[in-house]
Amino acid sequence: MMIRYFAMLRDATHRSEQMWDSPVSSLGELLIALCKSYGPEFHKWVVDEKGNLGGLSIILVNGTDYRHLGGLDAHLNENDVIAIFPPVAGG
Amino acid sequence: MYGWTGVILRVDLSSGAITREPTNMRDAKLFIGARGLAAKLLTDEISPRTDALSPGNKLIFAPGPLSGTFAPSMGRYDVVTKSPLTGAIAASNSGGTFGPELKFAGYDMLVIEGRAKHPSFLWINNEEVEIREAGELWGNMVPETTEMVRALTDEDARVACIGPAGEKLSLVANIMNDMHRAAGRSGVGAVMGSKNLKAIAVVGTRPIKVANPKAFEKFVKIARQKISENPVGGTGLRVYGTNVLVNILNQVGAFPTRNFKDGYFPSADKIGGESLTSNHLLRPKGCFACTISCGRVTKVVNPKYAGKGEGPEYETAWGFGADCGIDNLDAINKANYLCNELGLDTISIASTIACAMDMYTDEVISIEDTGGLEIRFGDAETMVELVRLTGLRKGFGNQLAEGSYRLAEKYGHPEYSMSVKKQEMPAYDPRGVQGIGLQYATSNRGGCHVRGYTISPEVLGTPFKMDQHATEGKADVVITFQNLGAALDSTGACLFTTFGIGADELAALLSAVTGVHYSPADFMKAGDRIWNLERQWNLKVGMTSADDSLPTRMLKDPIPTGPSRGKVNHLHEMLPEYYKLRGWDAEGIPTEEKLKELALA
Repeated sequence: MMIRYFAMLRDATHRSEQMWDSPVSSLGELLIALCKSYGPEFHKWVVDEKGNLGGLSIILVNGTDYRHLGGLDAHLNENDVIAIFPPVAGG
Repeated sequence: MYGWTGVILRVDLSSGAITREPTNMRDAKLFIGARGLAAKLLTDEISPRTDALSPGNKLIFAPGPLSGTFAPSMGRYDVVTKSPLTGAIAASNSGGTFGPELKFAGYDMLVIEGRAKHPSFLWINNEEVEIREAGELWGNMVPETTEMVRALTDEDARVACIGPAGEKLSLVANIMNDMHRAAGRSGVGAVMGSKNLKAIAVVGTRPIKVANPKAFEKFVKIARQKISENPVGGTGLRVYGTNVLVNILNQVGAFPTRNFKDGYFPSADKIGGESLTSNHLLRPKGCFACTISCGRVTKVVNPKYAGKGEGPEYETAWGFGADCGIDNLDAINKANYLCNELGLDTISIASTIACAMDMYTDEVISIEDTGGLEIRFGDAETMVELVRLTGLRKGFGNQLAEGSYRLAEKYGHPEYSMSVKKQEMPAYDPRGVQGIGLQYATSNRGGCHVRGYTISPEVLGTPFKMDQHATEGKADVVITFQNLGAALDSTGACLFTTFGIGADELAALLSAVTGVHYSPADFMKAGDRIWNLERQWNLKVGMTSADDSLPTRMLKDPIPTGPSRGKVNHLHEMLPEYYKLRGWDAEGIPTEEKLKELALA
C-alpha cells in the first residue's frame, strides 16, 4: 500500500510518501508499526495525551476518514492509499 | 465604562461635520460590538434600498470589546456596510493592529457618512480628528499610500486604506490595513472609494478599562494555555499557516478545481503549505496580541514573479492555484502580492478569473471579448496579468472588476459564476462536504466559509467528527457554528481562537472585561440575535429563500474524479430543517415568536 505523509509528519519521517509491503491486518497495527519505525517525533502527532492511537491525527484510507471505516480496526488492502496528517487546520 | 469605550465617532464627508455620541449601551449588551453592534447601527440608520455606492450608504469600522486587550488573538475589527457586490449586509473582518488602535483612540465605532467632494483621508489622533485632502495619495498602491499617510501624520499611525481597485469602484475591492491585512470580502473597498476616502490614519494612546482585572487575567491565562496546548492553535498554524489545508481538502476530494469543474487537483502538493514553508516562507507573523501567528511573510526570487509580501492564505493559494488550474506557487504568491497592493479580495478575483477561464474554454467568450488575451486554465502568466488589469480596471480587467456573477450574466450565462448571492464561494467544494454547502447557501453575506466553519467537524474532526458526505445533523451544526461565529466576531476575537477555546471561555473573557455577565448561553444567544438581525435586513433588501441556494453545478453535476467522485450537494434535504431549527417559516422568514425571543421584535 501507499502511505502519504503531510505537514510535520514529513519532518518526522523525512519523506512525503512510501510504499509499505509488510503485512498488516488493520490501520491500528500499521500505526503501531510506524510509531516504532519513526520514533517519538512521529508518535507525538498520532497518539494523544490520553495514549489513544490516532486520537489527534486526520487519517484517510482512500480519501475516507478512518473513523467512518471502523476506526483503528479498519481493514487495509495492499492497494490502499493511506494519508496521514498531524492535527492541523486553517480557514 | 469597561471594555467598550462608550463613544461613537461620526464623520460626515459631505458636510465635513465630525461628531461624537455615546454608544447605545442597551444595544452594546445585546449585540456585543464589532460585527453585531455595527450591524445594529447600520440597519437602524439606512434604508435597505440604499444604493451601496451612493452617499446614503454608511461605512462603519468597529472593533469589539475585547479588541486592544491582551486577551490572546483578539485584536480584530469589522467593516460593516451595505455590500455593492451582493446587496446584502457586509461585515468584513480584519486583523493587524488597526482595530485596537481605534479603541486606544477612544472609539467603539467610526461611522463614515456621505461623500467627500474631493479625494480625502481621515486623520484621527485620539480626540483630534481631521478630514484632509488626499492630494497625491489618490492613485497610489496600498504600500505607497500607507507610507505617504504616515509621513503626513505620524510615523506610528495605523493606516487602513484602499488601493486603485477601491478608487475605481471594483466590486471585488477590499480595504487593507497595516499594509498586509485585509477586510477582504463583499466589495467594502468600493464603498470607501465611492466616498472619495483614500485612507484612515489612527493614533490612540488611551487605555482600555477592564471591569474585573483579576478575573480577566485569570481567564486570559486559561485561554492562552488552551490555545497553546492545542496542536492546531499552538503549533500547526504557526508552522504551516492556513495553506496546510490544500493537501487535506484535496485528499478528501473537496478541493475545487478549474472553476469547480472538479473536486480534486492532482498536483495540489505543489501549492500547499508544505511547499510554501520549504520554498517561500521567511517567517510567521501574528496580529495584535496574537499567540498563534498564522500569517506568512514570504518572498519569491524567481525573476518572473519576484516579490515580497504576506500570504498566501489557503483560500488564496486555492483560488489562484487549483481553481485556475495552476500549480505554480511563485505565480500564486505574485498574484497575492498584487492583490494586497491593488486592494483586491483574493477569493473573489481568483474565482472571477477562473470563471473567465471556464467561459473561454467553453467558447462563451472569445478573444475579441477579452481584448486579445487567451484565457486558459493553467496559464499562470495570464492569471497574474489579469489580476493587474482588474485592479486598474484596464482592458478585460474592467469586466472582471465587477465580479464573476456580473461577468457571466453579461454574456448570458450566470451559471458559470461559482457564487452565492453574487459573492464567490471559497475553497471547499460543497459537493464533497455537505454541511459547508448549507452554510454557503444560508450565509448572510453570500459565499463564505468563515460565517460557519463546518469544515472543522466535517473534515478536520474538531471538536468532533461528522461524516462529510452525510446530510443528517448538518442543519443543527451549521446553525451552531453560524451563531458562535457571529458572537465571536462581535467580541473582536479571531476565529482561530476556536482551535483551543469556545463559547465558555469567550463568555468569561467578555464578562470580565465589560462587567456585564454573559453566560455561555447568553453568548450564543447574542450570536443568534446578530444572525437574525442580518437576515431580517437582507429580507428587507428583497432577498428570499430562492437566494439561499448554490450554483446549479453544485446541485446537478457530480464531481468527476478523486475521492468524492460522483457526489453532488443535497442542499434541499437540509434547508427545510435549517429553517425549522432557526425558528423561521418555510420561506425562511423569522417568526414573530423567534424575533421576540431575541428582543428583535
